[in-house]
Amino acid sequence: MPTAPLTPERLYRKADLSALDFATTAELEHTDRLAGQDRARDALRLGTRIGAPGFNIFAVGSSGARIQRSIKSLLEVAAAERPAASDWVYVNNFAAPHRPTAIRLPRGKAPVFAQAMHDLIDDLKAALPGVFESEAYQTRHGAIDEAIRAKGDTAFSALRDKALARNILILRTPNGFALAPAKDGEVVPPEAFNTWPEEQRKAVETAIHDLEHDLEQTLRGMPRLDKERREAVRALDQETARAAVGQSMEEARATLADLPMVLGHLDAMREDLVQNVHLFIAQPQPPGSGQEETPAPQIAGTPFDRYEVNVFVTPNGQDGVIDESNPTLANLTGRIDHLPIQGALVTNFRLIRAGSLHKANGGTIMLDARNLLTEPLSWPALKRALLRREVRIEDASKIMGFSSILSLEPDPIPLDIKVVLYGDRQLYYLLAEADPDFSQYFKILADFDDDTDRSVDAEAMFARSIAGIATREALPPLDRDAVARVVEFAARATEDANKLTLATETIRDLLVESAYYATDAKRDVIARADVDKAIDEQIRRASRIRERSAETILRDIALIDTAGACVGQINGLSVMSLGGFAFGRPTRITCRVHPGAGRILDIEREVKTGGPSHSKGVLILSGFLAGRYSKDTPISVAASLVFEQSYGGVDGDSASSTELYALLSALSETPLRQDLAVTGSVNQHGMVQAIGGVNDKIEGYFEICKARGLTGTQGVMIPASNVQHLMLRAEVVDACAAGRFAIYPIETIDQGIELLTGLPSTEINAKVEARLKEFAKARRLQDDDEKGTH
Amino acid sequence: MPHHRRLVLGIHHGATSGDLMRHAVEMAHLLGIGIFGVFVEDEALIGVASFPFAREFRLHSHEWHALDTDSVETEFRHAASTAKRLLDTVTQGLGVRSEFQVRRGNPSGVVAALLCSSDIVVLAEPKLGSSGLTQSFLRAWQTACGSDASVLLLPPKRMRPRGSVVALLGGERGVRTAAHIAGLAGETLVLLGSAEQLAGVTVDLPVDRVRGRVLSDLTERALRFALPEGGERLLVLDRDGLSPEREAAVLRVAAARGTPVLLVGPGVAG
Repeated sequence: MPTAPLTPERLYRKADLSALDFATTAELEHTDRLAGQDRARDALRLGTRIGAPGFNIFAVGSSGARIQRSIKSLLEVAAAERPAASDWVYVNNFAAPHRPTAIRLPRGKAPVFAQAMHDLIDDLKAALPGVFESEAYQTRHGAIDEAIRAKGDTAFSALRDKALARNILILRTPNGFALAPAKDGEVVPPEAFNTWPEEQRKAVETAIHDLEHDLEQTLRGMPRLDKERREAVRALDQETARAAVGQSMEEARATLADLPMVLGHLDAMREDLVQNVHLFIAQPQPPGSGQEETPAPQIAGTPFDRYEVNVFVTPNGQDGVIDESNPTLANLTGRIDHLPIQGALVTNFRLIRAGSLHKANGGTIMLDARNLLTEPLSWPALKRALLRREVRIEDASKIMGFSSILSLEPDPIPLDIKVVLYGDRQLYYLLAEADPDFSQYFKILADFDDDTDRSVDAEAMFARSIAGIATREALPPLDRDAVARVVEFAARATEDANKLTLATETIRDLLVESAYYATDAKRDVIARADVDKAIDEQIRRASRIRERSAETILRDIALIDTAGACVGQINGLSVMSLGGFAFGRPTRITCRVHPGAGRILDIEREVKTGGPSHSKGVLILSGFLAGRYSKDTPISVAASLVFEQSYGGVDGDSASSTELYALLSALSETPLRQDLAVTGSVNQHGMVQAIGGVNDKIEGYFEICKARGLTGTQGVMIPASNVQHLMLRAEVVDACAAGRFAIYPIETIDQGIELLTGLPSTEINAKVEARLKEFAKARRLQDDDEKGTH
Repeated sequence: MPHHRRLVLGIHHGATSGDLMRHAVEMAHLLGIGIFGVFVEDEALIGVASFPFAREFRLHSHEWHALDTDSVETEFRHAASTAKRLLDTVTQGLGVRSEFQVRRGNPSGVVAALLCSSDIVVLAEPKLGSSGLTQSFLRAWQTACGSDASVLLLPPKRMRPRGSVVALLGGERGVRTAAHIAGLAGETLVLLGSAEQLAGVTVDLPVDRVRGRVLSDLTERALRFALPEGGERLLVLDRDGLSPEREAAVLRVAAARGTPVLLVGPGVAG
């Protein structure tokens, strides 16, 4: 019974959207979730619910799956179950300004605190100058001045009188004071003084000498008096300020009564206000004085900044899940900004900026593992933060030793966070292998499947996710047929009629292109024709190499027969994959046999263009021959197998059945049909086994046959187990339906050889067996001759 | 309008601060008049420097150093040069015309000889310091008060750049001068006097820019009570008919409040 070709309905599984009643995707409920990710979803749920250190999550999926969107959807659900995270502020540390103080506040309270402090300072700016200009203050200040002045005057008067009593005057010099002889209250000119008797002059000199000591002592006491005055004024200022500040501060404390964690700061602030009250009462310098304040950036430019609050972290509409797409060290752990002011870089606690770890604190942060690992310093910084359970702002230039500039050392912020890394599997396994700490920090693996089983429910869910993508990307809606075509495309993308790809990026790209063609055709809704066009154009754009390959065959440069029959020659099928685009192409495989020691020569292996899987397939042929034809005696054949005109290397065992057919043809000297192409691996029992890329391979051969003209006898033999993977192009399906092309499901070598030779397998097997016996006999004779010679 | 034409600033070695000069120039700018700075080299000191036993006690080092004529004259030149540069800087900044001279003689006498009735002579009340030793301020004050010029007495404390102008009623010239300054400065004029005085006074200012406060008796306590709560930038009083006791009371209150006082001289034309 010859093997029958597959019926058209087995070549392509159409979408079944019967679970959904809709005309266009605009009517569908959107979803970002994809079916068939229960394992990953459960892992994420577990990871988000375990609070113990180290139970962070590494989510893996294929690179095009865009799993972060699905992860985020799942994490947002988990985030809603957690208590609200805290706000954080940085305030000035009045005792050590280079170490700003971090304060944790209930959610949403940071702006309230900041505004209260701002209002307090505004209030003091208005109130304090008035207090210090008040009558009460001025009176007390005047009393201090007067008291000190009186003390000074008393001392000066006494000295002046004492000097005058001895006819000495005190004069002001450019640098200080001098003593001079006097008469009637006026300085005696030198010419007059020189006329005085020597005795009188000496007496003056003696008096001056005596008074110099008194003058010195009096003047040395001046700074003490001045200091006494300053201290008295300072004490008065502080007393006045304490009373004035106290009132405003108490009002502020009342406003912030529900925030006990800020009261310590308020106490320190009150003391600093009292000590620095001059900031509030200093008057602006007049123009032209040369002492005007230099305009400076508002953010760091006023002396009152010290009392402001840096609202470091507060809700900003985000939902507890931060997706940090650019995880530089600064973006991750925060940074301290500097401002250039008069040529110098300056900073203060208000210029401390939060990183994404701060923003996600109390919630979840998502990080693209590849981005994280390619950023210098970020991965170690993340590990340090997780180990210490706190975020410390780190300066890359200091870590690298490029800078030793003194800067701020803000309080570290305690960290309570769930970290979710996402990336491809290879990265996960590399990290697990290369970083011994990895498993300590990421104990939960959430492994996202690349595809999902195809069912009516799965297709319905897929249709809703298509609707979600269309909406998110602001694309026109898809009609029902277009959705069906996208579903079918998703199945073809997995190379399996019973699966749907979860590579969202691939689907998104297709929808965007389809929308373009719909718009181009002035359609408001994406139709099946637009999706078909998009798929065809995607293939066409990538088809240059495929077309060149086909051209070499069609011009008989690469020799491929698609008609007739030939001994020891068969059409194999291979798949080339370049830049994400794969296509099939036929390859001629030939075999020659002669008596020998049972070795099948794999020429690809001999010249090192064959890979290990291919070599394995060839070795299996020896096992098949020995098992079927020569159970009791050694096989006396030498065979050589080669992929003709193949120069780029061969791997995989998908041609092993093809090679076996060529070998059997050569041994039996029975020609094989050249209008058929064959793919499939084989085991030692002659069972034909599944291979990959079946759709591409069939379509590759179909293209050649179509170009030469379909004869109706042409076709492809595929493993029967690959039938479930068929999602062939409509053109191929149509040709098969019309009887102009055929796909044959093959389960055994016997079944295949019958189709290829048109003879019963028993006849072929008999010929092979007879030929092998001939070879054995010839071998024995040869051996005998050699023994006789010796 | 009072006929002040220039503001005279007597500068002595080591006695003129930048603040004093700036405030003097600001007043000149406000009044739209020029400033005349005169640096006086104390003749007596040059003579003293020739005594072989002459020494000076330097304030910055608290050490004694021998004095000689050359070094004193050199110091005078440096001090004069510094003062001129400072005056030029401040006047140029505000666009006030200025003149600067160096003269030698008795400081009070030289300044007194320069003054006329259209002048305002600027004096700065010394901070706690050594002026009591030489009584230089006292002499300058007596000289100024003995002249026909008006006297602007600057307090030792930081002065307010803004605030009302206060006039003590008692003489028409003082009120007019105060009104003139208030008008130029765009400030409110506060008139202090008895109810009768307040009822009889007229000034050339919009009504909403003039306030009257009753000052029944010119004592320190009453004056403090009557002065504006927010502080004033200038206190103007007429020297005519003001007893020394009352004048002293006004000056003490002004000094305590950091308020400059303009004593309008007898020679100013009404």
